[in-house]
Amino acid sequence: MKRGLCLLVTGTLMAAMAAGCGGTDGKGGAEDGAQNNTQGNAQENQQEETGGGADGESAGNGENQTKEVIKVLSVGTEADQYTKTMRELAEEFSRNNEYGVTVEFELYENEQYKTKLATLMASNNVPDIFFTWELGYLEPFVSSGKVMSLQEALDADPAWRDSFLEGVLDYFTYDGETYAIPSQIAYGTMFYNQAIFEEYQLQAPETYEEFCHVCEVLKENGVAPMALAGSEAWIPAQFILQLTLGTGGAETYNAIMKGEEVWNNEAYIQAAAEAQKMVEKGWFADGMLAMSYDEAIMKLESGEAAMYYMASWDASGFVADSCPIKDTIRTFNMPPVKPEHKNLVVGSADTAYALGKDCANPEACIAFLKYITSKDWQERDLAANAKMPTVSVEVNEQELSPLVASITNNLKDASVYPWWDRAFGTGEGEAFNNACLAVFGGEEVQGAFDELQQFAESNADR
Amino acid sequence: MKKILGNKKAIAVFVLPAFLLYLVFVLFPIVYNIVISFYRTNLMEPGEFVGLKNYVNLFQDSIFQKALKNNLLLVVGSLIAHLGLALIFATLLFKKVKGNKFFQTIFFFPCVICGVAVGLLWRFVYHQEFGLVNQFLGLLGKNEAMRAWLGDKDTALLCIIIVVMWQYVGYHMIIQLAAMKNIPESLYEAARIDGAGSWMQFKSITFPLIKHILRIDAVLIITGSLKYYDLVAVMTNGGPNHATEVMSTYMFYQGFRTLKYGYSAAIGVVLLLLCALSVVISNHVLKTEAIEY
Repeated sequence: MKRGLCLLVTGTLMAAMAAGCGGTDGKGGAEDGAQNNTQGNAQENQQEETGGGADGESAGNGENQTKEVIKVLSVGTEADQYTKTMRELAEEFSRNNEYGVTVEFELYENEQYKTKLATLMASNNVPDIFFTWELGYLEPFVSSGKVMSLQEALDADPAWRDSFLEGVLDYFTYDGETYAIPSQIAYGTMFYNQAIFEEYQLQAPETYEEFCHVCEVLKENGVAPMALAGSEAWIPAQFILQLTLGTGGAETYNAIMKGEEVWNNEAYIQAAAEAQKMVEKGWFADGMLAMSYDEAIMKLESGEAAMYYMASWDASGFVADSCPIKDTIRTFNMPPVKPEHKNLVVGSADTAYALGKDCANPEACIAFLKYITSKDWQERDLAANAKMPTVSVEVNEQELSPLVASITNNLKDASVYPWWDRAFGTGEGEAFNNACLAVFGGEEVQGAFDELQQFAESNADR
Repeated sequence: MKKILGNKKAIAVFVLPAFLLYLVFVLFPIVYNIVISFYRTNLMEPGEFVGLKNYVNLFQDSIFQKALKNNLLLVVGSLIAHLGLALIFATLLFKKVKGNKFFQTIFFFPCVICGVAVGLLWRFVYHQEFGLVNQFLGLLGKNEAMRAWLGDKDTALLCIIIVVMWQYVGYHMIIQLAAMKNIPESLYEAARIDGAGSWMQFKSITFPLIKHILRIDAVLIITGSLKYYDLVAVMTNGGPNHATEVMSTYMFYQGFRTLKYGYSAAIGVVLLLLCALSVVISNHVLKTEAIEY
């Protein structure tokens, strides 16, 4: 009797285990999950539609067929202004698209996202639509054939293809084919609090000497000239990269890009030394090395610091009603150390989306990409969130807030140069970031950049 | 029941589910990891066989050397706290002092909190502006000693090691205390009658009789410190400029950030070998004979 019972229990357990394992064999499991999801969402949609009194057509659709859900894997946190807009956009698209699909955003914090995407790609679970950075970041996924080429779709719709500003698609083009569509242009700019500048009779500097003067005056008056978050290495690195554009110009940048110039070149050493001088003179708010991104913004918003160097994407937070210095915040382009290298800024086409190779419904996904980059949406996004459009739009400058107007104007004559950690991906790009952070931390400049060069030489071989 | 357990086939049936899980989730990944460590691969394209090149590169990689050194420092710090300090605490609490239950609980408390929470907590303690450490230094008027503890490459690692020491001292103390409580009281009584003092009792009775537990403890401490990950990931993520990089964070970085999975796997294999080696060494150093009371 007992023996029988034991065998029965064992048998049941093993059967349960087998059933458990059987359900998760790769794709089958994932599809099951997706299907369940679809049904769940469809029910929600139906409820919403009946409750909200949506137009007859979509309600009619919802009654007898389930809406397909397209998931967009993206970077963002609930606190971001940007997230809110993207959700709005997805809702709008879901309400009135001809494919009857619902678009949903699945958000991850920056670092988590990189891990998540790398894992999905390696396990052949490529999402339908995913957020990507340009150049070196997307490149391994493209060369491994995980990403769908959008060239055909672009060529099939010349109006869409030609609506993009010159060059923005180049960052996502490999071997003549474009693989992702950027939704904004972001570039490094110096945000400043005009109220503080006026208090000390200062003006947005146009030369490097003027910039140094501004910093000195602010420092003398007990205001931290700049806030900078050193807890994330790319932030000090983007500042030094901006300075290198002012010391070495486009030439040095392009030479490094092509692998024809070393990292420890003269222009880079000079730029890094300038940054280190600023640190020594106390031009950055105290606690810079361990300061988090949010803390740096707080320094600017609270008036403790007068300037803040960051990419223009942060403007979406500064135009929000919750920002205390909403009315007095402006931007200027960082003046170059050598005047001949004027108007070169760190920047790139940003917030891009690509499609997975096995995307279930490419037409609908492409329609969504077109929606993000439609003139109408891009204009609204510019006005509301200060996101620089990637397509040509017509804006009435009078209607823009002063901050958005200054960001738009400063971009007009400027040419942008992508962040190294995007151009080179995580290898050398991150090594550059770390070298810059070390310089901010007081390490000897030449040593830090020699080490970077050494890393670059050995990294190619791993 | 006895009859069933005497039957080898029945044993196999009982062991099989656990063995299958072990096979799928432990043995297979280890073997697979060793295999891909000989490849140059991003796991998306077919890899290229490179033989021992990943290992050769690894030992020329200055960041890996730094990570290895940091791990060894962590091992030293942990051994000091978790074998040395913990043993002192255990000996003190072993005597029937007032409130020893209370102190046991207090010392044990940090290791029941999850690593991520401990990391966040200490990040605040070390915070440059409103952290406890700097506030305290400010009160003492030592403003020149105030700094960004985790942002400074000279102090960051030490700060993490201190947290690790703090977090697990109670855990190892409890293990050692439990071992001490196993020693028959009669031995101490006899020693006291012979006129042995506290130190003599510790040296001649307690230490030799808990040595076998200390050996296991040492293995736990060393392997734990070699594969340490969570606190470092939360507090500094290996930064600033790799100053607090340990092997496991570097392995993660090379795998999931730079997509050099072959190279990352090689780090994993080195880690595995080091852990195995540490077991052999601690078994050898703290060699004991079976004890019977």
